Amino acid sequence: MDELKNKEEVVEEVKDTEVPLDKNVRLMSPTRMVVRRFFRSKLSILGLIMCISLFVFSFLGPLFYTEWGEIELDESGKTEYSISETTYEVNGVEYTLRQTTEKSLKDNFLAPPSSEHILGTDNEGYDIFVRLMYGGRISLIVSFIAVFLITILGVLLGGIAGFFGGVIDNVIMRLCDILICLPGIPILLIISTILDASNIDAKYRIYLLMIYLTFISWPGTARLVRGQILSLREQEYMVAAEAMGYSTPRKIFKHLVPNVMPQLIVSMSLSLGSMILYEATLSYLNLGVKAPYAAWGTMINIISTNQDILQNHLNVWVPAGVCIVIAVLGFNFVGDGLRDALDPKARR
Amino acid sequence: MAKKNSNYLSGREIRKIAKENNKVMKQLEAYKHRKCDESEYLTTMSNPGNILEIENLNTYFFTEQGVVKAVNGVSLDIPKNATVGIVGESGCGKSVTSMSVMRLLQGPTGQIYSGEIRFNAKESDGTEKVYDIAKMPIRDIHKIRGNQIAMIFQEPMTSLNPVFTIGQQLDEVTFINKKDATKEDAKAKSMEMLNLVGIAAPERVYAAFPHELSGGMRQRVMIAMALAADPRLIIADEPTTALDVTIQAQILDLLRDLKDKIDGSIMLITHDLGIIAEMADYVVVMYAGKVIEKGTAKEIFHNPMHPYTIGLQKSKPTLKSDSDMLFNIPGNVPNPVNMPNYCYFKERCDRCIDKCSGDYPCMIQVSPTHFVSCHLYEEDQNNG
Amino acid sequence: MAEEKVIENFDPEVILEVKNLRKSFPLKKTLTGKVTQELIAVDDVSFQLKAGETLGIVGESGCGKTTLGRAILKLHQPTGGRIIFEGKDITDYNSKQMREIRKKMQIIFQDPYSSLPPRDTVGGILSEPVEVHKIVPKEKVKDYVLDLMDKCGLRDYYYERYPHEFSGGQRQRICIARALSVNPKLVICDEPVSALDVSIQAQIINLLKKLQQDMGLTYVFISHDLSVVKYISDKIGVMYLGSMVEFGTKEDIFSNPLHPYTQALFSAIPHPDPDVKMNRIILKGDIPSPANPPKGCRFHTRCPHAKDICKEVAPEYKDYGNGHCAACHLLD
Repeated sequence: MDELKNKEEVVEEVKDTEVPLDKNVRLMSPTRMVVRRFFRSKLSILGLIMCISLFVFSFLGPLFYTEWGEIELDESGKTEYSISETTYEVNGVEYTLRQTTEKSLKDNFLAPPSSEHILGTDNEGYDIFVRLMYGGRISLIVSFIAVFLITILGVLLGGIAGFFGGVIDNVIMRLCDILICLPGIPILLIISTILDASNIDAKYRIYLLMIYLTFISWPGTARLVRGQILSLREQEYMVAAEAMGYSTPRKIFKHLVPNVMPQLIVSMSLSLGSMILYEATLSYLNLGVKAPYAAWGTMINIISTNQDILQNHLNVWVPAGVCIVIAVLGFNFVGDGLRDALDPKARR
Repeated sequence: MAKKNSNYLSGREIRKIAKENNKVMKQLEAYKHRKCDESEYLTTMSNPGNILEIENLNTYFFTEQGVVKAVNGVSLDIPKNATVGIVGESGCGKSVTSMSVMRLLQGPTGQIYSGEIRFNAKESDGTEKVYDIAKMPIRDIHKIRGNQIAMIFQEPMTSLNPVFTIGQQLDEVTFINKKDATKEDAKAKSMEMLNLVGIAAPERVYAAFPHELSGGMRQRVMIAMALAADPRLIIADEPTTALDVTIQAQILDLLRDLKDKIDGSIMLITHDLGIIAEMADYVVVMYAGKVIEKGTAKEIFHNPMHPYTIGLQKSKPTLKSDSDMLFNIPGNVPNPVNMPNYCYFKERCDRCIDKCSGDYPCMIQVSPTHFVSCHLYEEDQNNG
Repeated sequence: MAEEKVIENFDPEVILEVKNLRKSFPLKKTLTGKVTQELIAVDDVSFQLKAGETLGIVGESGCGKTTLGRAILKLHQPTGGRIIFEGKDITDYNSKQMREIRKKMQIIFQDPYSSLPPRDTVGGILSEPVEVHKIVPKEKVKDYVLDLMDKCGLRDYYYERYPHEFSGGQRQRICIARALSVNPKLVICDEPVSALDVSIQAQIINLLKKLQQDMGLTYVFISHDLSVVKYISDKIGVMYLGSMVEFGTKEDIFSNPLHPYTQALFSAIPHPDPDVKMNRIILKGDIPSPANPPKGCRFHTRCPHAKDICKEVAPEYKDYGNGHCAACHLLD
């Protein structure tokens, strides 16, 4: 009898009843969870502020501060006085003749910070403050393009290697090994010489160099993606996708790649920092953006030609250095913050 | 996407929860790390026949989604030389209770909020001292952890350190507990323990690394480690869940055998009623952080009173029964956040009465050893 | 499509036939790719399953039950033997041909946490297979999915929610709904209740039984727990170290277990009654590694009745009447 009664109950109760007790429990949405974890760390907030202010400064700055242009010389002129002393000896008495020559120059170069030039001018007479903004544009755009290309290449090749395995995996990974073995800077120097010889416009050569950088940098991302995919494809939901009879592109792009995204975003923000450094290095070595166009690296490069500026005109090169430090630190802080926020295993 | 879903907390609510949590967590952390004299946490047992008395223990987890009352006013006693089984489904707070006793809760989120855990410790000179573990500062916990109370974990695969040999790990236990022990003493003790847990080739196992042993062997080693310090209380947290059935039978056989050999009590935590029935003298049934029924094993299995205990026993598939369909308890195990103040089992209960919408039922004594927390039996008590 | 091999004299009632199925994984390879050591996960397993029946497969870890389940679905390509599904030999189907077969055979996994994609809503998870296999016209997909959710005991407002918001039992219901979304005929249940609580286990088992009645499903139910298998199976196969040691109807296996391993498995299950003190057969030792199985009968290292012949000769898998098969020397 009892069994019979149970049986009826069972059939009735098969439906999972959402009890009001469950309604009391409300969860945190995944997005909010990530945001909270990100903002719990003071460093990531600082990093975010650093990055945002650099963006505002570089991209919105020139729209509001229009006194000077990037390649606009201050031609207000400058009077340079030089004093020459000549000593004569007449009848055992020394006379010194001081002669002041006034020289009128066309450009107002190496001007100290003033209301007219917030950070002064450099040795050519360009406004440093304005060039910082334009230099930031170049640095940020170039690094973003490079990181974007690296990610696309890395995801594509790493994804293919990880998903298919076997011979394809072997070929792609050995290619990675070879590229990692290449010495970056010497080859850059060679390429730069070739570019010089072929008269490429100064404005575009930096992009060409960044494409080369992309070419030697994608193996890192590819390895990361491959590793992730190797571990993800062992997950049961991927076996389930296989059992469902989904096509291979669907499995890769709908089920695998979105789950690699968190790690990818972290690695992207970290490599943004290193790309900015690369760009600055290139420009400093005079391989990247060339005068008269501004880049942070080029602006520091001035000191290599003129010792006097290194010692006496800090306003010419220190601001560019500070900008590079802020950018690199900012992106790294954001990257670290994102890594902690997106890793579901890290509790706090 | 968060704005549409009513199942999600809003930003303001989250900030409010975080603010309140931080305040309480800071206080409790400071209390945990305070320096104090031993007299502050010495106490007396209410019944000298017990080895452990938990009274009105509240252990909370201060999560970002609210306070999870994982253990919510739990009281239970463990008599000397007895095995007490704690049974319940996942999330019922059975493991958290044992973690509270060992003070292994992960701070700052997990905290003992209030309550007493009285433990009867035996000092090296043979005198007995009663500590209130809940009040002990964390720096003094070494007085009882490991030597007075030992723990056997669920995962034998990860509970042993992979870079040391079994011998090194076993010897260490002896070195920690006996400051003047020599290497030979330690090895002799370790071998004795390995023999005790029925390992056929103790010499080989002594020199082996954990990865060279099978799951069953490792669990035996874990038991040997727990026994090496001659503890007064062994907490076994799901000791056989990760093992295969035939290996589980071996380990259960061993534990039952050891019960008589050692001078101590066992707190056995499991979700498997079969294991409880075989091993335990007393049974505590937990549901959503509360003890809903406790009594001797005979009382719980022959005369279960709480509808949840009854349902649990009926829904367990057995080899003996002939019915086609299994009995099931509808609904899900609740997540203990923002619990109402009526009976937590009300939504899943098939024997609800009007009273169930009222206050949470208090513990009713139905026999000298049998307690149940259900409105159905209140009348009986009043009449009798 | 390649030419289909139609098996002659095929009993139309038999939906799945597995003949001498074998699956091994290479452990060591020489540089030239020659396998020098292999792990034989499934060794020479054969059985027939009629439509609408449930086959329970029981065994301990490392006995190859999961591999067998996945090999039937060809998630692992079998190393030897034949799989005949609905009268067609699917063993050598390529992945394109398999994609068509996939909607007729499905799988439910043990772990409801890792088997659902974390970044998709319940609605998305359930409608994807329906859309891919074009089960219903596009505009009817949502209704179809909601209907399916209702059948599996899921509320309609779960449609917009993410898997992480659910408990294990509800997630397992989602997994079941996903497997059933393509109207399969055969479902492999790979330990679907092992990760769940006792009260939820009973719900899921009952749900599976009800769905079987409603939709005429055939199950292969893999579990390590004999008592669970008992409630759902018509036939039971017991596996040990890759081979089937006993196979028969539920009644035969439970009333008259032939193989000593089956007997030991029965007695190992703790009974929830403190008064029942069973005469337990405790098997000595551990399960040998499947990479290095013992010679002769694989069970002889732990068998309480092992004789000399067991150490040398592997016993033959024989029918002991009424389809009740076993492999043991003691029975001769």
